[in-house]
Amino acid sequence: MKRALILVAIAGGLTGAAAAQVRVQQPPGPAEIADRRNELQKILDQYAAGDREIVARSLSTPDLLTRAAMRELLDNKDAPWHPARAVFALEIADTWSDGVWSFDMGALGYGRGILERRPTPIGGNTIEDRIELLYHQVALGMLEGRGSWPAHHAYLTLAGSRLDKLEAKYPKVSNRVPLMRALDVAMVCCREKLAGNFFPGTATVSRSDSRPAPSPTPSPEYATFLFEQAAHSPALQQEALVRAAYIQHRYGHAAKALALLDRTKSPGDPILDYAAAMIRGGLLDRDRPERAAEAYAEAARVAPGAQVPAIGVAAALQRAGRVEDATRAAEHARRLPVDGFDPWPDFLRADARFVRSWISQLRELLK
Amino acid sequence: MKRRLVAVGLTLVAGTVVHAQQGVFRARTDVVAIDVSVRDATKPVAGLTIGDFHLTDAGVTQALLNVGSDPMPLDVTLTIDVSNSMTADKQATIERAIRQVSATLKPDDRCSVVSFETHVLEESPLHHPPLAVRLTRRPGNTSLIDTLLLSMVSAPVVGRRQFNLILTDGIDTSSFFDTDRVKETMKYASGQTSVILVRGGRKTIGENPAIGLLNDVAGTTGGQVVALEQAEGLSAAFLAALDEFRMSYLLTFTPTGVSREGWHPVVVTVPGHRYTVRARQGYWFAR
Repeated sequence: MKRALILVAIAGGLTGAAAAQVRVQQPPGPAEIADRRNELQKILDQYAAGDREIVARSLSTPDLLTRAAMRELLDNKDAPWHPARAVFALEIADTWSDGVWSFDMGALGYGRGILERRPTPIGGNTIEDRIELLYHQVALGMLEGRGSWPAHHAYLTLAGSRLDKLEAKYPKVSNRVPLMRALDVAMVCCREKLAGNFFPGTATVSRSDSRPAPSPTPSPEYATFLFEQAAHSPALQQEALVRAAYIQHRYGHAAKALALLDRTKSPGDPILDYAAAMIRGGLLDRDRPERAAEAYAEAARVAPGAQVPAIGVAAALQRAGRVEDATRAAEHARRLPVDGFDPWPDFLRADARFVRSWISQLRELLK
Repeated sequence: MKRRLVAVGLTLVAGTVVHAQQGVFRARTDVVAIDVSVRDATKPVAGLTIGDFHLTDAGVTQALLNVGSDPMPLDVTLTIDVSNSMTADKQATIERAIRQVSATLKPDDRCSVVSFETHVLEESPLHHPPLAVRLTRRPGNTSLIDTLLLSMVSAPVVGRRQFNLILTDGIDTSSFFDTDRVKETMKYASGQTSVILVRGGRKTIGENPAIGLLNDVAGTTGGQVVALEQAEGLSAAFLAALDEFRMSYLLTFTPTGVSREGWHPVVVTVPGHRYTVRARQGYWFAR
């Protein structure tokens, strides 16, 4: 293969001396990639043998050569089946998403492909099925955490039929997929209103942006319907209702949103208790500032270090005419430490908060 | 008769209590105080008297009680954006500007410094000068709208005028609350808010909804938005904004012929002159 020069710094109209200043990097050749791939295979073998920390230890800062070699390693369709290959791909995606390289779907896609090619069909091996279901949840959770909603939608589309089979085969096994599907629809139709400024990577655009929307046509109503369907599962009920309420709130349907919140049970997950209280505060803020202050105060009780509910309390009390109480609340808000924990970003990142736990479960299943 | 401060500014006089046969009888008169800045083409206009002003409350002309000829001590709050755009040079410039503001304050004045990025932090509580602040640089997102909302929460203070000066580049990336919340809350706020907006070379700030909100906040409270291209002119801008507030008039009146609740739009003019009159756009009648 003829090697080509790659201009690392891209600028229009570079000539002469300017061009000479530009750093050039040659892509790795086949022999280099093959050598590196063999090294990576040994790392994968150690991972499969039980060294679960080897990815973080050995592969945290991948260079161009390592990425090229990893692609060949994981995308090798002739490689023998082993569930550890898929989970290894997941760990690569997890580790590399925090590194200097931008996050991409490559590793997640390779792992999904490995699972699709496993010799035993869904229903033939409970452990492998459990691994696959968890794998998809981790992949989707990672994408939610990065705010990569087009990629999330693409992944759900590609994995959809296998997820349908897994759910049909194991109807009693609790999983997050119904919630993830509802979230997908919500983010297809309504991302601008739901993502919020806290949401990292909202501007992330993947090559799957041009894919057509799912049918039925995504809409706030359809997303709400899916969340309410998901709420039939006791394990998903609180979150599904809170997220449905959030959509209704953002679209100005206060009565419906409050009715959904009234159906939630608390205390539950503190992230969701907090979100519910903040959403309720926002709903009541329009015309019932006293009750809004109570709702924000409830959020502050769940997360006493968070400043946003404290600001909500102060402003709502001001509008309720309780000026002295408001001023005291404002002073309290300004004196909160800067590193106080605010659960709202975790609410927006949805299933990302479970990724670590799910990866731990996958590691256990590999034993 | 006790005069109760209804909104924005200060009470005039602690009143007397009239004793009746049945016990203590208290009557109450509500007073509204409005800060008003008057400029001709180039500078603030001084020396105006009560007869020069015309004020309407909800369209009804009001009899003015006073135009604040006696200087009142100030409570100044400086609110500073310390997010990602804050470089070490800019921090030094801002701290210098704060020291210069401190140097112009009178012994009876008070000043506080608040910084913000995603978090709003009281760097220095309200106290008499001198002011010495070392800002805490905290790279991160910017919750400008949340900060504005918090700055709107204040109570009128007897015998003092309140002035809030906000330094920002107008970018909001992480607020939880929306602009409507701020617009509603600012009707209840005390004091005047002005903004020093450092553009930093950006040309399309008009597309940023936070800029519109800054204009609304300043306009509603009777303040102004001063746009700078770079931070170098900061000290002069701080001092000019403070001077203009100090030279503004404090008009007081007892609302007459209007309802005793809700939002009251106020219009102030100086008839017969081509002056620019900047005043709070109204007040919320506190029960």
